[in-house]
Amino acid sequence: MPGYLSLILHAHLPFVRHPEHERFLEETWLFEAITETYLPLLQLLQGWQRDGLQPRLTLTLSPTLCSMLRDPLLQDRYERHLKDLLDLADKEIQRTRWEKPLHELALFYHGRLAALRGAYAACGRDLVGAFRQFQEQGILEIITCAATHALLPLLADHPPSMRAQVLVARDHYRDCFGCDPRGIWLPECAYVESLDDVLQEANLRWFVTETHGILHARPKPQYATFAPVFTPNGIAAFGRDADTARQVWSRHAGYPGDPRYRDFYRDVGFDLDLDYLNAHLPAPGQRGFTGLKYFRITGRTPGKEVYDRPAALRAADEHAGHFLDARLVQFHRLAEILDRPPIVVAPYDAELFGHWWYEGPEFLDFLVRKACCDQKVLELTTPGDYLRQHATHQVATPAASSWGEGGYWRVWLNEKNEWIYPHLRVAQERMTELARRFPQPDALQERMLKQAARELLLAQASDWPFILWTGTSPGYATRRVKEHLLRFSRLYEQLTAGELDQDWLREVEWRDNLFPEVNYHYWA
Amino acid sequence: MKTKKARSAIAVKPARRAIPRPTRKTSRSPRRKPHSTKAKRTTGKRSVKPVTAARKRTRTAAQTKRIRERIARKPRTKPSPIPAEIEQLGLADFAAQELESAVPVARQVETGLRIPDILLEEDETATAPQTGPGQKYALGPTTLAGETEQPAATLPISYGTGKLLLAPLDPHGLYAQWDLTPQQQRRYNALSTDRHLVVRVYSGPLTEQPFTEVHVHPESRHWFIHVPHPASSYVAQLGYYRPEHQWVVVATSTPAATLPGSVSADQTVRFATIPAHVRLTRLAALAHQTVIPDPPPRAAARERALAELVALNAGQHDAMSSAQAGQEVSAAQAGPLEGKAESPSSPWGGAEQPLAGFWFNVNADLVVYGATEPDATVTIGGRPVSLRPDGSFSCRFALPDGEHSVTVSAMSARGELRQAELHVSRRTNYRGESGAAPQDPSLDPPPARKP
Repeated sequence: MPGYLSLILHAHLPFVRHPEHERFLEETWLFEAITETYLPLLQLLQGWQRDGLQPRLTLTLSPTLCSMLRDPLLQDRYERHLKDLLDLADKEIQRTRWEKPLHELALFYHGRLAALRGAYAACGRDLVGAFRQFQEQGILEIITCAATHALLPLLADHPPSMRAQVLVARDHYRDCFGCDPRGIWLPECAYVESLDDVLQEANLRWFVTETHGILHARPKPQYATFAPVFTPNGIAAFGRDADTARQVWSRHAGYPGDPRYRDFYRDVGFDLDLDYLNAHLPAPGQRGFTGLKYFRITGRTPGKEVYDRPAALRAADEHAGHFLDARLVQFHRLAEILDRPPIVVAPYDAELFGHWWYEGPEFLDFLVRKACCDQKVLELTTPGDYLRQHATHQVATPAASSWGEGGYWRVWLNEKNEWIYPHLRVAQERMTELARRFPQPDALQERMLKQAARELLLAQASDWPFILWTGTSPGYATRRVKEHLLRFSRLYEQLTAGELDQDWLREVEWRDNLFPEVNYHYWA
Repeated sequence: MKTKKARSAIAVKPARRAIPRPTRKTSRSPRRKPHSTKAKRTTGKRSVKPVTAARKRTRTAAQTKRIRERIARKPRTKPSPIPAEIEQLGLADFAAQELESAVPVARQVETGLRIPDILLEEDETATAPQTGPGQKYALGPTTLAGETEQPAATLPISYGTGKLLLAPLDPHGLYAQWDLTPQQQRRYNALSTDRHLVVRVYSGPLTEQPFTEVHVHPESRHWFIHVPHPASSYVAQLGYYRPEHQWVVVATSTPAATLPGSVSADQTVRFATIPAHVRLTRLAALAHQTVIPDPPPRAAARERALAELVALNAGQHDAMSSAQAGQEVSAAQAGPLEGKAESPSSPWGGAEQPLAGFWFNVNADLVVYGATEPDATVTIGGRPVSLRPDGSFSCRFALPDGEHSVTVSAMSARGELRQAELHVSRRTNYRGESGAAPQDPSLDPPPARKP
């Protein structure tokens, strides 16, 4: 076997749950991802299993995402969202009666949404449990992430925070999947050397770095990114393969921009009459994405052409074949150079497949089926499997790096979001102070300490500085950071003053309810 | 029994300029004016003048002008010749075996007067993607100026710990942040002959001359500083000058090392065997000790071949991630198969075209509505229609140009049938740049329909 291909899908969304509002716009991030990525991925897995295929894939399910997927309120709201969407698709079937191409698409959407509703009901609304089954059946390796997707290198000046992000995530993984995680997705592939100790403590055996995290490792790795290195603590670091990244993400050669694929932005939520849409919009009275999109990317033309589903599927098939052929060429060349089977690690955000790139799941389906049935050059594997088969590797310290723009931390620490960090630093130190001050709290103090830990973790999420940097929803990101820091601050003041407000505590526990068993002692 | 016939109406609405804004239901906390969401361009490659959030909100144009003039007179940090971003993948230098001294230079930091980015806030508006694949956390094409409730309470401006933090950003970037209350800062500014604080950066002992020093804005509490050497240790001091250039230290940071930015010169080869089934904590020492005494020799030919293979990527450093916001992904338009792409172009094609100042879109829908007995069954074009509790119903049809017909039927609970066959036609003559859809002018319209 000349080589291994490891496909890694990183599924993550920030914790967005607003029980205080009947509807909340940003909750649609979760609903759209369930409809367009997580359920289609589950259907892919079921299809492979049904057809007797045994591919090996790696999936990150971040702790915040798992918390939301298992939350009854959000499950109810997702069902409502799906029903609204189905109702709109039904209306669209009628409305497009005299526009044949759109009518066919409306029928397609209605059928697809109905099938998804069936799939969601069939798994008892428990997507985490459904994915867990595929791990137990040997198709998936599910790994963890930092508790709230904090950019861990930016916590390097406060080791207890770094430790808590990792250990809380590990504990949550145990609760979700009934075993210990073997690997961790470092948020944004961001690595610094000081992470090694806590990864070792959590017995996490592998992680992925950006390409230059391996290429710039010390000493220089012999096999570039085509083999992992062991850190001094014995944790395997796999480098992202540049070729596979470029083929999917590149502005010049990436697949998702093909003119035949569906356009993400051209949504009926922005096209049709507002009165007609109103009942189906994520925030009534405000235009927004519905998920029903009739046009394809098209290209440099004056207008958009109607989405041609069969043509888009042909494109996905072509691209999967192209991707696989490129790997075969890559492996043949590497076989001439290396004295061991290379591993090509190809990590992507899971939401790319289906949500941003609508035909992404079909691409994955074609790719996996071709890889399993049409060739014998490469083997789909997971990093965990690979390490079980290959236990000897070069020892080197990966270089600090991330997969963000510039390759380091500037996406998460710049003039747009710098204001967050001074507050975080003080809160982090105060959390450690609390953990040391209350080693054996009474019941109420313990609730407050746990809530303080939750608020701090939520404030540390890398999503907020990321959104502030991209400008996609900066008001919301600002609000979230401030709210969590203010709640933390109030908890700190009440704990230190001994004046505990139970009613208010009950309310914030109701709002920010993730990690019910969070261990605040990790900050001590 | 009172019966009603189905009525029809052609509703022709000129498109409105709809600028969707995401809002939420009113919360119990009072609404506050949201922060500006207009984004300044972020270069992140040079020392920029930061100010507090409060100042951002209150600065007037005149104040901005004054500050620009004042900053222009201040001594500047020596510009770093090497920005970090281009070093990102390091593939080229991996292949070329070039070490630190050959770090590629992406963009020379300009010399002379620079306008700090913060002063240009509100000058530019971030552009949302409008076409192509999706973007992380996108809410829609025109949602940048969303209205968001903010907490009623506010975070303190500072905590007054007096600490100076120095943290690395990349191989050439440091972030310095100091925690002084406004009162403390004003006091130090008043003691300073410059009327502001200074950040000194040392690359060696504090007793030597600082490598560089930055005169910071009187209200600044942080600074992004460029330094020349990757993987090097630096220490910062915050202070001010008294008369006769007497340096007074306010705070000293702990050392911070810039990040490595090139292939390691260390060619040592050590291998370890680490069984996957044993806990790492038990193997920690072993991992250090199980070095293979006689590692595979470095084959020069293999090194060269591998370097060549990796170098194939070197000129194509546009590999992406979601951390680049999907905007770059969206920029992918050309098909990946050479020669097969139908229309290799940027999906921003539509966005790049200048938007006409005046625009006009007209759409036509047909609304069929009526009422019958609440327990009757109504179909329109053979598809059942839901009745409201009072027996009324309505249904909307997209109405393209041409002749169309549809049959509306009602079947009573007793089996009586009533029908109406509607025949409608539409013919549109467009004059000038008139389109059909969408509602939002920032989106590309569908292909024009021929009259």
